[in-house]
Amino acid sequence: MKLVGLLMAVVGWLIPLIGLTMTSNGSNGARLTLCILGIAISCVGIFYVLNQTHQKEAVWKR
Amino acid sequence: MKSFAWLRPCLLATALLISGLPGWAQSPAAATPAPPAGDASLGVSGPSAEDLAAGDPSGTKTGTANDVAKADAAKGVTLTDLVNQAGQNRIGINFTWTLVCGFLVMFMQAGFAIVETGLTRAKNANHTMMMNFMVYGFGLFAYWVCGFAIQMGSAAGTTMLGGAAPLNSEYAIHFLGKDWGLFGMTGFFLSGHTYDVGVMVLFLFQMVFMDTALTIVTGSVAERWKYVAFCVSSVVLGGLTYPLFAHWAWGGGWLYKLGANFGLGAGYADFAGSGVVHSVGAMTALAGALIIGPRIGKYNRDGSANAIPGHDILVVLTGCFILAFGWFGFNPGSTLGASGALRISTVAVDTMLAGCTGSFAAILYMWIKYGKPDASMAGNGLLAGLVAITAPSGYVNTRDACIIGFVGGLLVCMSVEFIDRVLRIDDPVGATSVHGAGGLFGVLSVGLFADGTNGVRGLFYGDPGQLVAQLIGIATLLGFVFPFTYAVNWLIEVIIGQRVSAEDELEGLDIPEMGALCYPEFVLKPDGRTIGAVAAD
Repeated sequence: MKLVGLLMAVVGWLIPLIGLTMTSNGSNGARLTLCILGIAISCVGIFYVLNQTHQKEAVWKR
Repeated sequence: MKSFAWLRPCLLATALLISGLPGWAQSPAAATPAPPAGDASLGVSGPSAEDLAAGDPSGTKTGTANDVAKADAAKGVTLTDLVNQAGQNRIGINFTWTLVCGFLVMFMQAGFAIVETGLTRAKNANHTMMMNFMVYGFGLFAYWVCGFAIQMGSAAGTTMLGGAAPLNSEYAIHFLGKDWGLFGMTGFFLSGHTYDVGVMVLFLFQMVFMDTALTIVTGSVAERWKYVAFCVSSVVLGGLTYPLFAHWAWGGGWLYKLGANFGLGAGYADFAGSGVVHSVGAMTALAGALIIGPRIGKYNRDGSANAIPGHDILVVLTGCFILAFGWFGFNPGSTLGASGALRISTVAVDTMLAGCTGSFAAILYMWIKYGKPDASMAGNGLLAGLVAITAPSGYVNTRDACIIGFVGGLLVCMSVEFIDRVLRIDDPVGATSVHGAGGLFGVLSVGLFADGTNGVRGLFYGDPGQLVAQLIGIATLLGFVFPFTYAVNWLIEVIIGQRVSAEDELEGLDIPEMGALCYPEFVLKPDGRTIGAVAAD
């Protein structure tokens, strides 16, 4: 699951990046949406998926 | 050419004014003399040797034509001499400004060191201090070996510092119809043509910035980080992780060129490093805290959090003052000069205002919510305000600087609670919140508040493209820097282990890791959570 969390973070970065090349220079609305979507996916990957995996093996649960 | 003949007397007059020749400036301008050739003597002279030997109590005889460097002493001052002197003066002013600001930023290491040490327990004080002390050396060495080359290896064209022309090589890939600059390739070991005065100034200034990023990490994993793991992690961060992102943002890389390549405002804009310095440090701090896990005693079996107070609020707040002072080098120094960059005054005022409103927001938040103005959060609020204004300080007015600082101060309080109680990530000094939440908000605020005065215009001033560029920067920090630095620290965990043993942690790291207590005359309470300030004898 750690890998899934990290992959989600990377995918969240690639979405706005690839979106840049697929949209024309004036289409800031579409780019803005893709950026927010990407950042949200990265945040879920890091703060939920990855963190949950670490929490399962936390020292205070032993 | 004839139509530009008037330029020569203007150039002469300008050069004379710059070089500070009051005697000449006061002479009547009734008849414009024929402009001399560049190598012809101007026939001006300063005070005689006898005059100078009599002393100069009023200062009117010092700094005259005598002090202009002459190519041919016998010929006297020529126009070429004057123009060269003006160029030397400009670059000299910029070198001096940038170096002094770099020295201020270097001293911020002392501020970070005592803030972090004060916020941790007395039994770990030597260990925490030693991490902050040695991170300077480890980072500097790694940056000299390869970090600077990766970051600034293609920074030629830094006109404020004379051009830095030897830094002229970048590795870029051609992808989806555009060039994506990935890393620089000159300046390893500062050897070859990079043995250059301008490059040295750039190196010193960029090095102390890099070290700031490194010292953020030592706070979030304090009180349980194995010293040898800290050494390796710091070298990789200073030599590779930080320089990569810094190249993309500051060294002419693909983020910097988002404006030119994709029409996104002025490209990713991060004036002094909310993203490059603070967020990169915070991403590594978060990765470290996740991998190493919380301190023993931080969380109960039901998941509720215990407060583990630091041992010396006096040094914490003193450290915050040192940091606020150093920030006057951090932000205004990022102009890389004073001559031709008079906005240093605006940057400095923005910086102090944002720090002020940041601390104000934090104590207000704590006072309203908990009934007391918490001292450590007031310090963190000050720092968060300063972190938040770091990226936009070169592009915003004072009103917006106040707003940015205030929001930064609020964010750090909410972020500390969220990370501590909801995510259950143990960060003893709140480094992830101060530098992560504050840093990412700083990057975002350029895209919102930049007023266009200095070439960057945010959403509120009419350019949504700049906001997109800033968001791509944030996505890169979360989606590239974090996974990269997490992978590096996971490798260190697998190979040498990151966390000290439970016995060492409970005893305190000063003896097991450092071999000496920070406060040998003090008796530490057996539960290890607080210090009993009782003399041993």
